[in-house]
Amino acid sequence: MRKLAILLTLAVVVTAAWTSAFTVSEREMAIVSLFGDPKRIVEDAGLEFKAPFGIHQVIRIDRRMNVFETQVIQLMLKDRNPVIVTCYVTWRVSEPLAYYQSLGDRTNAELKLGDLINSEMGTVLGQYNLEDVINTEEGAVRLDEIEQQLVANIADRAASTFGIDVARIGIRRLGYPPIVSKAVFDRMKAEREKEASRHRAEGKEKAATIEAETDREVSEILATAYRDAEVIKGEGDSEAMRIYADAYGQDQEFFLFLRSLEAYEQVLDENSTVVLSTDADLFRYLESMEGR
Amino acid sequence: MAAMNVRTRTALVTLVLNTVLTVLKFVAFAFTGSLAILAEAWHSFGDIATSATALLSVRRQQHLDETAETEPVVPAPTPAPRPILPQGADASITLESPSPEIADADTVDMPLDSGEWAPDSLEVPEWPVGLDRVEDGAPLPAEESAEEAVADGPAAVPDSRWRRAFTHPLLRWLAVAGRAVGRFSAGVWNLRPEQKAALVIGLFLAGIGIALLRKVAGAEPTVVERPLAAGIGFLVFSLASYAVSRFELGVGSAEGSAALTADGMHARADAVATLLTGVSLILYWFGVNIDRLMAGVLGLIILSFAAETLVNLAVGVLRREERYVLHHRTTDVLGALVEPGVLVAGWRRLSARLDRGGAVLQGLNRVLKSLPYAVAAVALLLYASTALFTVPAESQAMVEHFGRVANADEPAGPGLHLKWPWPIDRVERVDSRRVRDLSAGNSTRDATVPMIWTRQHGTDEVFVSGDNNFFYPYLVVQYRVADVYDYRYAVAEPDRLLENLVLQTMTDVFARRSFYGAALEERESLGALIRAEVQAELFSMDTGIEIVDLVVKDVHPPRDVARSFESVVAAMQDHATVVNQAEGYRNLKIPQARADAVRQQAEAHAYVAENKTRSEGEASRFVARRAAYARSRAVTRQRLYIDAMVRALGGRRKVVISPSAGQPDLWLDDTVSPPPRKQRSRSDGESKKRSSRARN
Repeated sequence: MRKLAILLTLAVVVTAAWTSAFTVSEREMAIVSLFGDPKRIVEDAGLEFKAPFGIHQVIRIDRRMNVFETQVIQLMLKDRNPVIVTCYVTWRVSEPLAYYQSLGDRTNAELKLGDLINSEMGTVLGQYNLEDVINTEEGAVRLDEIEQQLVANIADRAASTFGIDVARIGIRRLGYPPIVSKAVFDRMKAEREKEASRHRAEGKEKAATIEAETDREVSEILATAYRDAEVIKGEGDSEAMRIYADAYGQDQEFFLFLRSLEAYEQVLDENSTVVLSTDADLFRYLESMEGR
Repeated sequence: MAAMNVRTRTALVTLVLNTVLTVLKFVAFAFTGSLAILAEAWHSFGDIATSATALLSVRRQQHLDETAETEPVVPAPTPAPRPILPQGADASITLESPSPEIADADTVDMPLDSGEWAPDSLEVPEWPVGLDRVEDGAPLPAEESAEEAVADGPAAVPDSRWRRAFTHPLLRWLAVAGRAVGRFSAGVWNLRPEQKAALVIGLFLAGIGIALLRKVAGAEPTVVERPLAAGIGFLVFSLASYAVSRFELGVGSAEGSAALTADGMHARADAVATLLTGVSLILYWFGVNIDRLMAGVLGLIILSFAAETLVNLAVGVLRREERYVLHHRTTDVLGALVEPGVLVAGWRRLSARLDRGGAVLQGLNRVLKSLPYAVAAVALLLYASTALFTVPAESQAMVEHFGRVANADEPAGPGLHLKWPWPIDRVERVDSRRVRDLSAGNSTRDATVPMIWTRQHGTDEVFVSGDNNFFYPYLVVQYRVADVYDYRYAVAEPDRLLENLVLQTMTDVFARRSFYGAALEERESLGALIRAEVQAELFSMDTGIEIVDLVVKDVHPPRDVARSFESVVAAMQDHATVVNQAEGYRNLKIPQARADAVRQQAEAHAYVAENKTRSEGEASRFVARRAAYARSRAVTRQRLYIDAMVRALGGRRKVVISPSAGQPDLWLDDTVSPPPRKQRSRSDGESKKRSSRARN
């Protein structure tokens, strides 16, 4: 029985010692409370002491930078363009007690912050047009400005109500609602088809040009060739004429005589009927032996 | 008679009270979700079930006693509910005291004397066959009797061959097994009601005990709602259980009922269990969560109940006892274990017995004696080992000294390191040398899916380009931990933050660029740009992450539009085709024309050459002939003339007219008209001569 008592006492002492010390890691802060009443906030890591057996309770709160993504939300821009926006938010606990009392845990904190941001986003994005969000012109996109304005609008409320320091809000995704998406798809398709027809037409144009050019060149080549040939022939003919003239000029009467004889042979063919007088030189001896 | 009523009433009242308590405990579980409460509720349920069995047993025995008392003259008591006992074994069994008390207590030291039943059950049973058994009134399963008839009735099989076939060892073994199964099922069938109840309860509790322990082992830390209220409630339940136990013990001692006394003792133990549950709940309220531990302990207790029920049932049946009797109580066994005197005595007895044995047993004894020291040494070593820690090759580690990081600037590299033992120092390892990767955009983890525009191959995350076109980029980021301290202590989820930063930068960068700019022209430089921006952000936000590489793996238009994009490419191909065809035409025509030109020129030259040559030839001939002509002018001239005339006029149709003959009527002469070719072609000359003759 005495042994049992000793054992029990020992157990109580060990439990007391075990429950009266606690460590705080560098990634967290701690609130020490007495039966639920917050008494002390431990912001530095290390070994700490408290009253044993749950008289003092320790609530640990993550002090690191947290990140979460807000719910996907559809909003209207100033120019009535609907967009779908998703943000991410980085935040950390600045006032552990306010945080613990107003939110309690991370899930709840992200829920409340998300609501706050999505409601604020409607206000902020309602001041911008689509060309402030997407634009190929240099310096025209003002997403940074939108993000900074969101943080500025929320930071104070988050700090005072929730004990949260909102470090950054970033636009993670930009999109369009399905019906607008379809319109964009159709426009892109039409643009592409226009482009395709242009390519085809240009191809045909170019081909026709080439063919016409070819035909022209061909005629040109042939004409030139004909001209050259004629020139050559002419020169050759003149040369031949000169040769003839040189030769025949020596005895014009004889040439005439010979050429005439040749001509008669050539001119009179089988179908010709020649009417001759007996007075012709050929028939000199036809009617008299002595000749005429 | 009156005493029995008091006992029965007491048992009934206890039963009702316990039932109420049990129901309340289940309700409490529904409100709190505490595993310990659930376990405690099932524990109470088990208690009720056993109490009910005990009551049933008591009632039945009373009934038997009463009938025995009122009809003592019946000469041949053939007890109907004893059909499983073979005739031979019947005599050897002496029924345990038929008194209504449940035999208990002293059975702790009693060894399991199996001598009475073991040989009987191991032998091939000698069942009475055929009619005998029917007389016994025990209906046996049909298949069993059939089998038996075949195996045991050699008379029915006259042929020796058949007989040999049926005495085959396998068949015989089958027959034995069949009989064993039959005997077992018949045994279960013939159990007395409370034995059946005990069997069902035992199996049920075993199931619950196992389910509870599995739940305790696998569950995440339970969240208990309203722990304080439940805890106080359980303190009250505990008091109620204690009151019940006092009541039972009081009546038990007054009536001299061992059963009630035993049940009372049990109820007192239960009160302690309930008390502990309550305390655990109140501790939970203080922040000490021993809910699972408590549930585990209660689960074990329930299992021990199940074991107790089943073991006692088995012992009872094997000893062929008339009633369900608790021979071995878990509480007693456990009590003996807790009693130091019993343990020491047992240890001494065992030691002495071992010493009396052979060399091996003596050695075993020595080992056993040194066992406590060995256990202590191992425990000490285990604790000392918490002062060492290892870091694997791909990792770095930080040491938290009472929560404060001692080596933030110089994390421990791979190898063996020293630290303060538990619970002073804790080790935080980060596999910082591993290159991790992250896919963003239209990403796919499945490398077997072809990345073709018109087929879905990713998460379909669309981005909007600056010129209001949609497209799907696919980025892969490879990164590693550069600063393990920041990675673990500055940001809660650095990898998630990285993903968000990459997506934000992508959205921002693409919102400033045209689709073609992003997809084609700037594709390479975009990767570098995004990487630089993300890295700068990572650095400024103390994430401890360093980007190793960022690759733009794919940028393509939406799936619906991709076909149109491809048709543009097809149109470009058409363009090229048509132009190529035109070029082909040109390549054919121009050389052809050139060839024509060359040919014409050549022909011209040939013409010139021919003409010239001919003219020269003719000229020379003329010159030569003139020379000859000059020598004998008149003769040559005449010869030439006449020859030419012959050639010119020979064979031609001629009309020779003498001027002296006057003017001929030329046109009426048929000779002038063209001759009918068919008959005159050969006789042309003759006809001319004739006509000229006729004329002349």
